[in-house]
Amino acid sequence: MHSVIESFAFLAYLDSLLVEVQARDVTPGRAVPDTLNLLHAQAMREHARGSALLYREDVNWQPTPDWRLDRQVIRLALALRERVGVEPGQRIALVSELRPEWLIADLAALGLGTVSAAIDPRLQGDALTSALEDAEPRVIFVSAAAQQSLERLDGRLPPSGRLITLGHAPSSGGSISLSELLEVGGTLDTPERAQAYRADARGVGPDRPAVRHYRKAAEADGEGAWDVVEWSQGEVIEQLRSGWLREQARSGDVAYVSDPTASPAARLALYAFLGDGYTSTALAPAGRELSDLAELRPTKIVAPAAVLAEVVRAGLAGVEEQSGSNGGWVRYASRLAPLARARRDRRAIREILGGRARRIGSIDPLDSALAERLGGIAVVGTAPI
Amino acid sequence: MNDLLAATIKELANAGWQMFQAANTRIPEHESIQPEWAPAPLLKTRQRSKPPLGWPRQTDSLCPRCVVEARNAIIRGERDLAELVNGHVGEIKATILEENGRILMRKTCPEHGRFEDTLSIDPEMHRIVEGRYYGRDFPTKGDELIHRHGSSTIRYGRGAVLTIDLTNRCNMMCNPCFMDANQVGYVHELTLDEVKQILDDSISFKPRRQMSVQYSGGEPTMSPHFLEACRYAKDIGYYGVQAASNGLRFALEPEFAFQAKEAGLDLVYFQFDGVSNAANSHRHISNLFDAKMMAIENLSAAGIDITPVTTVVNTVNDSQVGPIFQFMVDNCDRMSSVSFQPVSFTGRDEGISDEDRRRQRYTISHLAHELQRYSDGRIDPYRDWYPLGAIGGFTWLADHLRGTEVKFGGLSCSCHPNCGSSLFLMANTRTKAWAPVTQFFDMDRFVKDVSIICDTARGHPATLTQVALALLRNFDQRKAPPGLAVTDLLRVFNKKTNGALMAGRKPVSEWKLLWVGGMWFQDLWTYDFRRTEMCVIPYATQEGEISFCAYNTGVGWRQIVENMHMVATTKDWFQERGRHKIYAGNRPMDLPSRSLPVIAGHAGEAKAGEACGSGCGCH
Repeated sequence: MHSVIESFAFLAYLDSLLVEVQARDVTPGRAVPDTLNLLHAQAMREHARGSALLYREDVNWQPTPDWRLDRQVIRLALALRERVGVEPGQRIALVSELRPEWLIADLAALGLGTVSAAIDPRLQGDALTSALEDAEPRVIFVSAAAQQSLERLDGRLPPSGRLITLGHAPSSGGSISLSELLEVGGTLDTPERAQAYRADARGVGPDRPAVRHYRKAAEADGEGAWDVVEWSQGEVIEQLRSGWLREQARSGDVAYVSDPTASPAARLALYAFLGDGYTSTALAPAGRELSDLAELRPTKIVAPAAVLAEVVRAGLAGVEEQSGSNGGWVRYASRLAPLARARRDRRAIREILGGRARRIGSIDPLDSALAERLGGIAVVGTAPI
Repeated sequence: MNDLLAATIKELANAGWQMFQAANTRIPEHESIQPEWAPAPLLKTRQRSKPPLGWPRQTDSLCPRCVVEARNAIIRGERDLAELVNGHVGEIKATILEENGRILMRKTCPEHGRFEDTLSIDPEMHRIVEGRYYGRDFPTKGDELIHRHGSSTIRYGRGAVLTIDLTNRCNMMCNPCFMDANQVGYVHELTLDEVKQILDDSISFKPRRQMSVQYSGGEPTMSPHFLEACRYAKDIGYYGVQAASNGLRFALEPEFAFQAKEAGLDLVYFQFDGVSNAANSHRHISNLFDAKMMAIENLSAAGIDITPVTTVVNTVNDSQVGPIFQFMVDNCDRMSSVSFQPVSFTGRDEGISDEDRRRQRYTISHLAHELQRYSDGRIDPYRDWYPLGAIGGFTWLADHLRGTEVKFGGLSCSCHPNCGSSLFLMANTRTKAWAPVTQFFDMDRFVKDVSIICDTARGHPATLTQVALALLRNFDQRKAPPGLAVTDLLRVFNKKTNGALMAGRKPVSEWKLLWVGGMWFQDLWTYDFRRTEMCVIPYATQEGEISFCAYNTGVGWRQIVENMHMVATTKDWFQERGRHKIYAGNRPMDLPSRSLPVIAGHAGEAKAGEACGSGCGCH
């Protein structure tokens, strides 16, 4: 019995050493600029990570390195300005789940000085129509899934919104695909235009409205209701300063972001991870959490509370199963030593989260039991944390 | 190291080599290995073929008038492209001979009369360089769909640099210009899928050797696919990705240099005509040198190597050869080579008058003598210049050492010895001290030693032992620049063989191998089909891989391919895709506002307009 406790203690000690070693590899401190655009520009100059984004296509995670992300943002912005006629102060709408193209469109819009309005892709019918009417977007970016929702609106789209599909499908019925716009933007992407765009983006002030969110309201507020929140460039930065950006990134950091609603919390986390210049962010589809976490071994996790709860349940179930099959001594030790049992559970949860998690953020409120469970593993909070 | 000790080591190594070979050469040679990338077992020296060399000799060439007429007729649709592939359009016999202290090419067309041009002003140097040619690489195998260009078809080796024109658009208006960029009235630009297909095809046949993929144009950085193309080349296994660029994009947008490096760009083959704005004035941008310096700074900061490339035109910018050489040495911490390209009268220059052509003709021998003069004799035309394929000896060695499991063979440059010559320097990146390698290293004997090592094909330990002995016995410490030890030389050779001598490790040294190259592309007056068929710098196009000279001059495959695959007229392109800025008109270009760092004293002087620019060595 004594040796079991000793071995746990020893493992815990090794664990703490590991954390200490990781902590030494912290990126150099730097000032957080006043606007989101400057934060992005600063991150693009770090050249410190292999990939800014990871996105699952088929079975593989496809990387989007900084150079590709930056060029695509510039190219889309140039195409939007010179071919679609988007001007500063206008709004663009994003009706899509989180994916690299979502972020490219978002950053391009911010660089152009427009307001980027993310609309919860779960909104349907009248709710979606009224959100779009309220947003009055100059263009609407839609994913393939969200496009079906728009088609079901049966001509009730606001007349001003030019539809841009986030995929490779060629133009049809008044819509244009993002890849076509990027192609046009590629030719517009000369050093003179690129530098002018960057200068304009840097010139967008902290007071300029930047991001807006239309989120499906709680059921209690009635079916089809939504609420809206809008932040300026500076307000976003303030939230990042008090949240994810508080902690300096470490070389090799990987963030796991899963949020089918494209919520403000996930969006802020994305800005922070992208903006620190070091973190590679995986935009994870729903439904494969366990295998994705094991594969990615993220250091930061942002997910709905329900997903986190499910992961914890799976981790603990695994422990029970193992205890059952691997002999009685672990069960015996656990009964005798609650401390050891708690440590074993923490280890199991930690393992199922990939083994490296340092911070965990829930995009909606966590119940206290779950928060306590996760708290033994990483810094936990409701994002932004 | 003490001279006496060094001399003792050299003699001991020599004795060791002799003793080793006394046994080695009496034992039957081992069979050469056949790596996966090779079409047959690695070639022994005696199995390597050579083109006809020496003079007088007869070869196949082109009539400068017939060819232009035929090409234009094909482009107009009056003649069939198949004539180029199946026939011998414009071909005539030519004689290479020595006359009045020169090597000449002379040919007579029954319709257009006699043509004559100079190949060398120093027959002795020409003879020595041809004598140092080591032989061709494997004949190509499985390349029927890639090499299918009639008399211009490439038949040997894999090549050293695969050039891919991403676009014919350019942001400058130079003269000379191989492709007549911005003037041809149409846009020829590859899609990313086409680039990928071309690269996939390039590794589809044997020998599959490492090459440098060089994106060119026009100005390749104007292609929207430039960065992705760099990445794809790396993804499929090429370890060297280059861009032949005027550098303006890197000057105007520093971030682009870093992004290009991350995407996979290793080296910029950098248009560079002289070390002052005045020396670049023929490019029609009045502050072009300032822009070049800014590009060099940005590229260097991003970790991209730079090779200045100068087209040398006699009586126009030949006086810049010396200063450019010095500029490269002064900046050897950020450059590894300089490439001088004696003018090839092609593109806009094809209509040059005979008088101008004779006056402006510049050959490798001109270059060798100019550098000898500039360096006060430290560079010797007869001792130091080798055919471009000299590095091939190291490739053979590396191929033997790497064994059978590697995916690619080493980079092999086995082009015709008349295609160009080069010399190697060892330079200290800190002190800038330099000396030609052949001043203190017996390269001729070393290559013979390597031949023995490769031909006998002993095991790995015996091979490495012989390499060590060969290095030591051919290195003369007494003639080496101060501070250079044989270990530095070993590190450099090891790096050149991609770590093959040190089990993949590549320790650094403050000494660096610098390459000074003279690459002489053919034009219609100097055209020799024996050179074309051994081309090591093919153009990869939608119509297969075509010899550099057959593409840019010769029958002019460039115009034909571009016409076949043009994507829009320039007018339509501008209307649909937007105009790009073209820097011309002898005006200055707007540069990012920051002070230019002084990289080299000479460059600084030149900027201030104080250098005489005559190449007199006043630096």
